[in-house]
Amino acid sequence: MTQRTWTWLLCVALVTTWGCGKADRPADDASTVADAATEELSEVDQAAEETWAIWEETEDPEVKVGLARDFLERYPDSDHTGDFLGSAVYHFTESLDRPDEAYELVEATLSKVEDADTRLDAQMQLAVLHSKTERLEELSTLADTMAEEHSIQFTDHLRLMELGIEAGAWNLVVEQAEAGLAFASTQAFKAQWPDESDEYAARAGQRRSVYCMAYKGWAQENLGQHEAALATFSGADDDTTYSLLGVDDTPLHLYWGKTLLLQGEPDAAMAKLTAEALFGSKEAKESFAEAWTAAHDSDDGLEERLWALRQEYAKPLPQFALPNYEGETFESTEFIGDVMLVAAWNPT
Amino acid sequence: MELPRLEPLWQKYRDQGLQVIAIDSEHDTERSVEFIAENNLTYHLLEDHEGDDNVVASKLEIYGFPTSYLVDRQGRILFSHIGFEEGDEVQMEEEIRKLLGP
Repeated sequence: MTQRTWTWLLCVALVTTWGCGKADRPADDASTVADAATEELSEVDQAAEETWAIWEETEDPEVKVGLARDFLERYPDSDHTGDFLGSAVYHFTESLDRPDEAYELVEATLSKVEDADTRLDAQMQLAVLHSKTERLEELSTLADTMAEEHSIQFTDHLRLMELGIEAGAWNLVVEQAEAGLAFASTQAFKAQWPDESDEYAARAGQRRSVYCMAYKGWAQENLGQHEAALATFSGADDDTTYSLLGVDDTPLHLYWGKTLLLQGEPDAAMAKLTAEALFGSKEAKESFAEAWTAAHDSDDGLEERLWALRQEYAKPLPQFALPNYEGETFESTEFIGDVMLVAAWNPT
Repeated sequence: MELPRLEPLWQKYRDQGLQVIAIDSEHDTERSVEFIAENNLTYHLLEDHEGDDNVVASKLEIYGFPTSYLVDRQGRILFSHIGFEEGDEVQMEEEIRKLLGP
């Protein structure tokens, strides 16, 4: 169970870093967390910290949901509400298979929340629950309510798109993508993050647009609008940026490839998915393998093909020089001839 | 956490020519040094600080942590891992063996 919890926590971290965060949040956003940590803790923060400490020590989902429930009974309306609800929803649905109790907890908490931001956090957890239990109508109604009650931001639209994709609420995904596109500009990004440079904001605005188009295209394909889906993907292509290894930094190529595969074009699908399959997500690799199998009637030769493509797509490691903790400088070129595992990390 | 899981890989394959290079992008040397000592990490541990920027992480286009690259003997990046889940080190070991060669 520990493994599962940590995997989940990692996933949450990944979603934050590579989903919403990567799509959107400026890189230095984490500094506010560090600043807060140095200030004296309020009663509720203190209680939250103590609860999380116990949370991390236990492997029992029953204990975890109990901790979340107790905390939310005492402090239903705080900055921690969304985190505790989210964690409880996860365990009620994934570990314990008791979604009804998750509903009780979320609804009881929501009825006590007055702060608008906290309410939005709690509503988002209700949306997660609707998505997990595939209550598509409720999910759609809730999204409307959220838009009426709050001036919701791009990241909220993005989250709703992701929940819609998971649940197969394709009309909702199209609606949210269209709403999200209204935020896909340099000005809209600057309105939310005024300290970012114009250059950064321009790129972030484009990335927002590509995210929306990627999700919208995939939803259109699932709604049977095959031509429209392809047109949506093509429309986003020019705004896409690529990593060092040629991986699209949005889900565009993944969904474009999956769409081509569904449309019976496995070779075209593989062409869209190659860089993603080699260096990106597991999902892309699986879709590539599926496309290979569709094109060749078996998976014979797949591993050989991937290895050959890997040689073709490999990029030289950029040169760098950095000090160790004793101040001694290491040059990356010193290690050419050896196999290098270069791991970028941070201790928090 | 990824870093402690790399130590056994480094110990096992260093004689065959594996270099493990960890690049620390947090601007908190004290905390990092403590972490390294607690986990007895002995491979190359480098600090990526220049003012407020992570120059090398930007150069390597790394925007999420942890991210790792596996580089072959010709200096080409052949594998990458974004994020780290328990069990990933098994796949990483396979890839390392592939790059180390017979």
